[in-house]
Amino acid sequence: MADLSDKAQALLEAQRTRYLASFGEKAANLRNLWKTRGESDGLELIDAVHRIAGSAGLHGQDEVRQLAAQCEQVLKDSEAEADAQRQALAALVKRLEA
Amino acid sequence: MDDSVLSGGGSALPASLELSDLAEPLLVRTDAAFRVLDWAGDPAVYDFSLEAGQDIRAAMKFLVGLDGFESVTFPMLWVDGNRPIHVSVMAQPQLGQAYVLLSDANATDMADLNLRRQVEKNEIVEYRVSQLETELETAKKEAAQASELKSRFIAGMSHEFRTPVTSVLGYVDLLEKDYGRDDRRLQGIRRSATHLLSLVENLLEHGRVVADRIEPVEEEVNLRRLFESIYMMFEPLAQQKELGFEISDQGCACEEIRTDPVRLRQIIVNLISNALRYTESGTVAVTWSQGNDRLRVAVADTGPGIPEDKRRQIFQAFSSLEDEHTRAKGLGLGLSISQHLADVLGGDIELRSTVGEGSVFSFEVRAPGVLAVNVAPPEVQAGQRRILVVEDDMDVREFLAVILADLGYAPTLAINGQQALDKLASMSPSVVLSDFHLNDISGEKLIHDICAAGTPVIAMSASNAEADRNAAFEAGCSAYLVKPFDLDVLSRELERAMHG
Repeated sequence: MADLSDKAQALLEAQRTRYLASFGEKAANLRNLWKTRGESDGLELIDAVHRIAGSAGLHGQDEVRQLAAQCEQVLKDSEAEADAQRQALAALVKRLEA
Repeated sequence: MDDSVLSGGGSALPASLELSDLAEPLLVRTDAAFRVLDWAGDPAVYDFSLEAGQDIRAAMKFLVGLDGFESVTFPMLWVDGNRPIHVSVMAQPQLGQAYVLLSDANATDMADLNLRRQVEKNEIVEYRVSQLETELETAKKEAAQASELKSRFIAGMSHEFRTPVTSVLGYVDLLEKDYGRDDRRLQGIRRSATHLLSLVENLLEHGRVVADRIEPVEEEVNLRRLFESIYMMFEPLAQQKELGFEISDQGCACEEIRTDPVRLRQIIVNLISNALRYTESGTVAVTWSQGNDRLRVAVADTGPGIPEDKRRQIFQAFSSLEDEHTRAKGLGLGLSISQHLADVLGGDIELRSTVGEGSVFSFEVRAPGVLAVNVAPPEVQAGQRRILVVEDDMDVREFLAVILADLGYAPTLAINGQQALDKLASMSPSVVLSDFHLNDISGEKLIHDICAAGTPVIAMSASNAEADRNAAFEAGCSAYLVKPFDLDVLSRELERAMHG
């Protein structure tokens, strides 16, 4: 890794502390998005998880990054499946109402 | 009337016809020739003796000259020097009958007297009421004048207080440069001065609220800087109370907005101030987000919570929930003013609370975004190269700002694709470092548009998916970095992108 100045390292350390302190709130946000996922298309939840996957590694939280990346993939797969279900159902409903 | 109703001897008078005992009525029914048919009441009371078929005028001389086809009333008659009586003859020619009603005039007089007394009493009461209304009106005027004087006094004094308190805070700033922000003595001065300033500001604002003199003064505000300064303001207090304290954004479409910064800040400060004041352990967490021209702020605490029956009360001026469980002190103005200010800014404050668990005060106000096209790029020192960073996640954006500045670049930050395109023209960066998954513009389009303008782009993403990587390269990016990336790799790719 490139050598960073003491000042930059101190700033990053402060950021890291703030980042760790935000975990509780991030968890609460994810819980809330999970609860309300039926009201939207689920992309908001995927986006929130994606952000954590992106930021965690940069702040030295590799375990969180891995969990977030796995979670993102599962959510995306599930969303794709749900989307396929929605499309199949819509086609059936459309035919029935024709 | 049914003939059986009044039977001879008066014994069949129905209860519904009974009059006052004092009036001792005697009701006699006769035919048109005043021959007695029947009666109710006791004729002996009036020294009469009645018989069916008898001409009533034989007993009641005062009816001589009348017949049963004419109704007449004698308000007062003296019968044989006895008591005065009241007589009414009610003729019913269509039935060939008449009713003669006698009653004690003394009792009637008494009733009239009582009525007159009652009327006089009512008149006296009405007069007194009108006097009281006049007195009340005068008292209200005097109270309004006193209130106006009080408001002027408070406003004047508050203004006089604010100047020196602001000065004290300025000196604390200067001293902190020498002694550091950790100096407990300075923390104490700052805390007290901040509290005093907050009280003074609220008193001033209350005066304006009472006088309905608040007009929002809008200007461009940087939300991130606003919340950072608020964090700096309260963080020492939270530390002192050993409370967790955090402010974080939940998504910000545009961090430059138009609003009244003084009033917005005051609402947020009041809510946080209350949360820290009433919370003895746990956390005060502030979240904010901006989008669709609205700013949403929520202040959540783990304080005692607010009972259902007190939730309306706490929004009233000079009202607070101080009790034996809290050592909190305040004027009870903060929420009342904040509610009014939120209204001025086109919003409303909502409260959710669970006793024993905590409260969440949240509000949403009008906050149209300002595309930062006129924001001057940072001054570039000799040897520095401009770099535009496009990242919608604050945690990553701040990280990159520190890293890039330390690597010798002059980073300009954009929080979404549109802001990046707007800044691109004005700052002419040497390279753009952009997140590939933005909310407003697809990564492919943003890379394509920036490359089309002749600026190299390095894409970055948490996704290592082949499809994303290929899409980014097809759109024209010079490199695709998967987060977390090694800083050496970042540095190398930046150099490579700029040189070719």
